[in-house]
Amino acid sequence: MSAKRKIEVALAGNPNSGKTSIFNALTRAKQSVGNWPGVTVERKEGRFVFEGHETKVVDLPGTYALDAYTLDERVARDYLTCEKPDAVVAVVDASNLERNLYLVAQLLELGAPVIIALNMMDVARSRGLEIDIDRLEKVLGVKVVPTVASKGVGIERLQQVVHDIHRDAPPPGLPISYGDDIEGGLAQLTEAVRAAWPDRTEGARWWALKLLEGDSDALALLAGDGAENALREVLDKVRTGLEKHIGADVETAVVERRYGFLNGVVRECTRRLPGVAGRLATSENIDWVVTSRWFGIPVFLLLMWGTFQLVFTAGAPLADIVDTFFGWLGGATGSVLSAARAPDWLVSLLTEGLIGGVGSVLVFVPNIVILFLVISLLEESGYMARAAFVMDRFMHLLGLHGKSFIPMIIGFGCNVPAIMATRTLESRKDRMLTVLVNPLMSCSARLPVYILFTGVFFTRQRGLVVFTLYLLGIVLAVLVARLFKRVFFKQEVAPLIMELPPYHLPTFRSVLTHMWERAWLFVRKAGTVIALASVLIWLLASLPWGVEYASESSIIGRLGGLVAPILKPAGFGYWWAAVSLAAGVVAKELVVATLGAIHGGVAGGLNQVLSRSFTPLSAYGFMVMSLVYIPCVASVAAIWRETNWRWTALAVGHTIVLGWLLAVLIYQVGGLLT
Amino acid sequence: MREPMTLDNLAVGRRGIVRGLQGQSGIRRRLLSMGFVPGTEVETIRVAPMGDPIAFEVKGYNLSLRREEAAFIEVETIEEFALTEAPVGKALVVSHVHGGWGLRRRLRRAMIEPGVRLVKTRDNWVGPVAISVADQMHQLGRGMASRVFVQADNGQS
Repeated sequence: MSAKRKIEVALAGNPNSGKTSIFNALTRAKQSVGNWPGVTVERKEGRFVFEGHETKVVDLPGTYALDAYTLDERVARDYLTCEKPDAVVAVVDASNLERNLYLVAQLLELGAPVIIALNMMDVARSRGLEIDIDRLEKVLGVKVVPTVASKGVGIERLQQVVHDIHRDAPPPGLPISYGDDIEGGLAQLTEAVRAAWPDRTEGARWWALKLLEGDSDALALLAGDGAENALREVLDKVRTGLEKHIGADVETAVVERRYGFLNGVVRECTRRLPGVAGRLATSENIDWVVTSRWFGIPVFLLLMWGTFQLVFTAGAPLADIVDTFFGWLGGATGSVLSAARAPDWLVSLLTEGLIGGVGSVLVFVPNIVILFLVISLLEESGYMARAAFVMDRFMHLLGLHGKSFIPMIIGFGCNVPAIMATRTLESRKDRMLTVLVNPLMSCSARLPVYILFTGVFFTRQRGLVVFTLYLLGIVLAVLVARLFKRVFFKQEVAPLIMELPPYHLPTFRSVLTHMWERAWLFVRKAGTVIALASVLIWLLASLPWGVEYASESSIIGRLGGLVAPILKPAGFGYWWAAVSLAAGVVAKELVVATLGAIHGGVAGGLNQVLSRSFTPLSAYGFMVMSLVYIPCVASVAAIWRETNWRWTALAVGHTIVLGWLLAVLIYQVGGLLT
Repeated sequence: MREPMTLDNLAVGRRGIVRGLQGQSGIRRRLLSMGFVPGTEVETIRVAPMGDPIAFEVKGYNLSLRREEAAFIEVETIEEFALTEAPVGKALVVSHVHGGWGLRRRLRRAMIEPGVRLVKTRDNWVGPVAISVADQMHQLGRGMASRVFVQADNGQS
C-alpha cells in the first residue's frame, strides 16, 4: 500500500439530509462544478488535505434509493458500480433515521465501503431522540461519525475516518436476512448469476437481488443470449415460486423486509427521551399557516412579490452602478486609445463591441446575485417544497411541476436568472419544458419596445395593449409547453412524490456559497459566449470598411435588406426593422436603441418614421414579434448552459417561427377584419 | 379494522395502515422506497389549497403526493373516530390529536393527550361536548373536539 495514493470518496445521501453542508464543510473552498457526462445533472467535486494526504470528494446527486428509476439515481449508481470509489460517505439525517438508512442499506448491499456521517445530531436531540452510536456501528458493520455540518461539528473526525479507510479491512456487506423463503430463492439465483456472469464485480448476490426486485437495468442485462437463457429460466421459476408462497409480488416483499430490518435497527439503536415532543412543533406550526387552505396561496404570492421587488427594485441601483461603470470604462478606453493614436476601428471594436456588449450582460449580475440569495434562502429554509405543494395543482394543469412556478414568475423580470433557477426542478422533463417556455414570459427588457410603439399607435389604451402582450406570452407558454410535452416527453411520468422537510434556519455560509456559485457560473459561461456574440454583431455592423455603423450599406444592413421581404407579410418589410430585430438578439432593449440610432433618435424623426411605416396592426405584430422571436444572447447562453445544443437550437428555432407566424397572422387576419 | 380503501380517500386527520400498492412498477417502487411498505402507519396531514396534492406523515416525516399517486396505495383505516362522533357514556381512549402545537398544548392543559382515558358525558349535537377525564369534567368546543380522535377502550394499554 502506497501511502501517497490519492483517495477518492463519494458523498451519497437523501435530499435534505445536509449532504451539501457536509460537502462544503469537508472541502471548504476547493470545489469545482460541472455536469455528469451526457446528462444535465450537476457534478460537484472538491478536495481536502488531511495530514498531508489529498482526498478527492465527489458529490453524488441526492437520492432516496439506488433503483435507477430517476436520472439522479442512475447517475449515482453508475458512478458507484463503474468507478468504485475508495469510500462512500453516506450522509444520514439522524432525525429521520429509518428512511435515510434505506439508502445506506442499498449502498451496503452493493458492497460499497460505507462510512456513515450521522448528520443533524442537534435536531435529533431536540426531538428527544437518543442514538446509540456504538450499537449502530456494530449492527451495520460500518463506522458512524456523528456530525452537525452546519456548525462544523464532527467534520475533522470524518476526515480522519475517510483518511484511514484504506487501512481498514473492507466492510463485510450488510447481512440483511430476507426470511427463509426469499433467502432460498436468492441463493438459487445467486448461484445462477455466478454461473452466467462470472466477471461481474458487483457481487452475485446484489445482482440476484436486483433481478428479483425487477430492477429495470438488471432485467435489461438479461436480454442477452447465451448464458442469460439459463438465468432467465431460474429467475422465472424462483419468482413464480415465491409469489405463490408469499401471496404478493416479490418486489414489494423485498422492500417490505428491507424496511422491516431497518425498523428493527432503529428500534435497537435509539431511545426516545420522555417529556420531549416527538414532532417538530415549530415546523408544524409554520405549516399550519403557510400551507393552509386560506393562507397558502396569499403567503406564496406575497413571498413571490417580495422576491420580485427585491430582485428588480433593490437590484436596479446596483445595476445602474454597473452600467455607469461600463459606460465610463468605454469612454475612458476610447479616449486613452484615441490619445495613443489607435485606429478608429479598434477603438470602436473595444468600446462599442466588446465593452458595450459584455457590459450589457454584466448589468444583470446584481439582479442575479440577489435572486440567488433569495432562492437559496427559500430552498434551504424548506419553503420551496411548500411553494410547490401549494401551486402544484395549477401548474399541473399547464403540464408543469409545482416548482416551475418560481422560474416563470422570475421570467417576467429577466429570463436569464429564471432559466438558471430551473435547477431546483428534479425531473428532466419539467426542467426542459420550463427552460424552453421561459423566454415567452415577457421580461423587462421588452418593455422599452412596448413603450415606444404603444406611445405612437395606442395612446388611449396603452396599459391594456401592454397587458394583452404579457397575457399572450403566458398563453403561448402554456400551449408550447403542452405541445412539447406531447412531442418529446410522451413516455415520461413525473409523479409528485416530494418530501416536505422540516423548516430550518439556513446558515449564512451555505447561502452565500450557493449564491456565489451561481453568480460566478453566469459571469464565466454567459460572459464568454456574449463577448463573442457582441464582437460578431459589431463586425457585421461595421464591415465593409468605412461604412457608417449599422447603416443600410453595412453587412448587417444588407442582411436586413435580404430578410425584409420575409417580414413583408407581417407589414414591416423594411431593412431597418430587420436590423433592429437582429440587434435585439443581443439584448432586447437594443431593438429600440437601434431604431433610434438609424432614424435619428426618439427626439428626431423616429416617431414620424414609425407612424408613416407602420399601421396599428403591424405595430402590434412587431411588438408580438419582439416578445416571441429568438431569446436574447444571454438567455440563449443560459439555455445552452442548462441543456445542450439541441434544446438550444429548438428554443431559437421554434421562437423565430412562432414569432413570425403570429406577426403575419395578426397583420393578415386583422387586415381582413378591418 | 374496516374494509380497504385507497390513500387519496383517507380524510384529513385520519390514520391508516398500508396494505398494498398498485400501479406501474416505476412509481410503485418509488412509493415503496419512500416508506409506503405494507404494515406502515400513514396519517393524512392536510390537503393543498386547490385540493391537490395531499400531505401525509409516514415513518416520522412528511411528504406530499398527488391524488393520482395516492390512489395507488391501499390502506386500512384505523378504527377511531372524532370525539364529536363518539358515543356518549362509553369508555374511550384518546388515540391521537390532529392539530398544531397550540391546539395540542391547550388540550394537554385539559389533560387530553394520546393514551388518556375519558368518557363523553354529554353531546347535544350543537355547542360544546362535555367529557370527564380522571373524574374531572371538561367542556370542549366542537371545533376542538373534532380534532381529538378516540378509540373504544377495551381495558388494555
